[in-house]
Amino acid sequence: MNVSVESTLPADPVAADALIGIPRQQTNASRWQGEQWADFVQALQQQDVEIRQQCADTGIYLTDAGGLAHGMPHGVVVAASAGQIAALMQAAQRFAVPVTVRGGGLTTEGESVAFGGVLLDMTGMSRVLHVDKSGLIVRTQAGIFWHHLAEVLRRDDLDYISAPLNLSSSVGGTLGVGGIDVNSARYGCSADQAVSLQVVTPTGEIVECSDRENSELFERIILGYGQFGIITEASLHIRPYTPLRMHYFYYASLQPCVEDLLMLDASHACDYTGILTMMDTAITLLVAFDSDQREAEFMATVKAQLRGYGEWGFGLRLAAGFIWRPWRWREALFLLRRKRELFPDLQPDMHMHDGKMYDRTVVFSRAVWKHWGDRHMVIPDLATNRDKFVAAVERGNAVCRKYFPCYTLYCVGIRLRDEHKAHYELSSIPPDAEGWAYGCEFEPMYNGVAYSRDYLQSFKNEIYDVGVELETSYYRFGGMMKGYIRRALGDAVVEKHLQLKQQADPAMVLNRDVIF
Amino acid sequence: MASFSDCYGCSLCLLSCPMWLQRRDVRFSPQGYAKAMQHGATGADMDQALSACIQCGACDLLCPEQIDLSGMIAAALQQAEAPAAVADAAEPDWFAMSRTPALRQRLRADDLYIIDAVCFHAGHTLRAPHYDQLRRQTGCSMNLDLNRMAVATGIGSRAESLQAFDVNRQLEWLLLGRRFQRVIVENPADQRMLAQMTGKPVLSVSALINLPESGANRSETEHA
Repeated sequence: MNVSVESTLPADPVAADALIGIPRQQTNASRWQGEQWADFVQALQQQDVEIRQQCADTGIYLTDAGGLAHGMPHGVVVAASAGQIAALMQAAQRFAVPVTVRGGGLTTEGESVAFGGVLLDMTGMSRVLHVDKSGLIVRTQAGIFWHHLAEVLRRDDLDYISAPLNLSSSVGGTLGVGGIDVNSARYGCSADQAVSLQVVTPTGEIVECSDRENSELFERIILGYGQFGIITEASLHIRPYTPLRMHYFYYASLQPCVEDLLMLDASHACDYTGILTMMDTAITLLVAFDSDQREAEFMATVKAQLRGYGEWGFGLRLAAGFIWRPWRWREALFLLRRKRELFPDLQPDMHMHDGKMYDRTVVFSRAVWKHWGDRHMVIPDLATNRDKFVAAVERGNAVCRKYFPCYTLYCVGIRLRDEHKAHYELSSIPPDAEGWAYGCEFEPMYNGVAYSRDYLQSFKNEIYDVGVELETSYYRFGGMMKGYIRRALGDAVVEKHLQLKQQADPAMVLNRDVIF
Repeated sequence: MASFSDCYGCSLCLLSCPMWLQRRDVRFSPQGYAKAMQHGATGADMDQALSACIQCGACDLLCPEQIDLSGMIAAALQQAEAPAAVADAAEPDWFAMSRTPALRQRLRADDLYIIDAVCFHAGHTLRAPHYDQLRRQTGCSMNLDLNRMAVATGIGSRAESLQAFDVNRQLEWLLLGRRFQRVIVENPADQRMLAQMTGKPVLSVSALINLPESGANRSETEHA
């Protein structure tokens, strides 16, 4: 029988061999069977570490934001102190019990789901420890949600620098994977804001690390997918709080919008940039500023170079395009409905004052969960250098069109720091990116349709296949899909880090199914 | 109406939940209740966690699935026969008071105005714009968090029955980093504790409205 290997979507997209080049079983972890569990629990209890084993307690952590992977831990430990976590890790090494660390649980491939073993809930350690108002550095426990960090900092008119547009993601989890914001093109990813960390190693030592102190560990922990230690405290750069003034420019096709985004970032003319689309029909370039002065400079020097339209101009153009194409009226109605529902939520009265947006991340985060969030947060990404970005967006868009009638793309740039190159090695930052990396998230909108797990998984895999073909990186804010890790990073990088992992974590118990 | 089985664990309800903010333990949150119930827990199984809820209603507004979380908690409390945070009887209409011209005239930019969270959240659609306008017109600060939910107070008179909830810590969180010279409270339940903690004048809305014109700007400590 002839089997076509050129096809990107097999005849049966939900079959066991549907993931091209990836045996299906590699995408989900096998369950740990509970060897020595009773001895392990006893050892912990002797050290006064509470471990919850009731179904109602462990079931809270059944799945993650992706909603595709489901697994029950044998027991849950809610983080209370670095000492408690050190005791946990020492016992885990001794009895070879897997430990899965969870912050906000916003992973999408089950990285924060425990397939047996212990689930360590870091939100138990989520308090701000010290705010250095003059030095602009905050020391916080790492299980804190970015939202709560912002809440505390705002009482002193301060703010974090950049964080994911999802406020229930945790600081520790974000530092382990990157974290992108609409100001990442200016300031870098969230992980770049880390000054120093307190880490519990897989063998249970409590270590402080930074670029100056235990720098090798710091390199491995930042953007290290939780493989080399558990971040218990973090010192982060912060800044004075400013509301922002947002401008929107509308495009009818992807390429000019993406090109304008690249141009804007290179010009350093804006404080915030990003692209948010309704399919590939209504494409919005977001531009925003921290100060009136920056906004005025942009309006005087750069705005005229943009090819986007204002809201009314674009609306008329779109209407003219649809009126002669009755077969697309359904799409037009969807766009109208979407605009009516979404736009007020992107400019809520309570968060707007004198045309400025206050607490942008709250606004965006609530909109994300209301308009894009669902039981399955399926957000495969592609990350490329500047040169490949248009192709990545267009090819990923074609995959979205194939799978879903309605979807959104979200694109941002990430400023790269030369001094942080070592941090990026195991990460989603493409090794050939210079100056900026660019990321595009491809987000289906379900509109009440129930898609099967395998259909959603096939969609994700086809996006990642684009990454393979473009020889670039692909990632999600939750981490790297295990089945793709060697293809994304290459054997040399994976082998190097596997060796480091085996040295650091002899029993291979910490977040064991995420990468290795 | 969505029910507890529709909770998929987004954690948004935790962000303004006074109980979770104190405990940092997901069992003490609407999400924790819903997830536990999805796994067969009954009200009786959760009685300790349930009795820590002060039923401020913020979670109802934050849930993207629009689950009736307050209703879910009330039903579970009834099932558990656990002590609940029952509202003080015959509470006056603070919202109506907040709309009087006298209040607008007498509020100052250095006032901290404490909205009653239960009433605010229960009528959020109507009330949020009003308080936003009041804040902008007078320049006063309010007990609103980044989600524009009211940091809950108004539980002082029930503090003893709410053993699982630390009212002092809640007020400390409310006051953290806020700069003000006078506190105006809608619900006088926490008036005494606020006066003790801040050392500043604490007036109820009704007292402020009824102050004689000459006394409206006088610094005067009033205890409940």
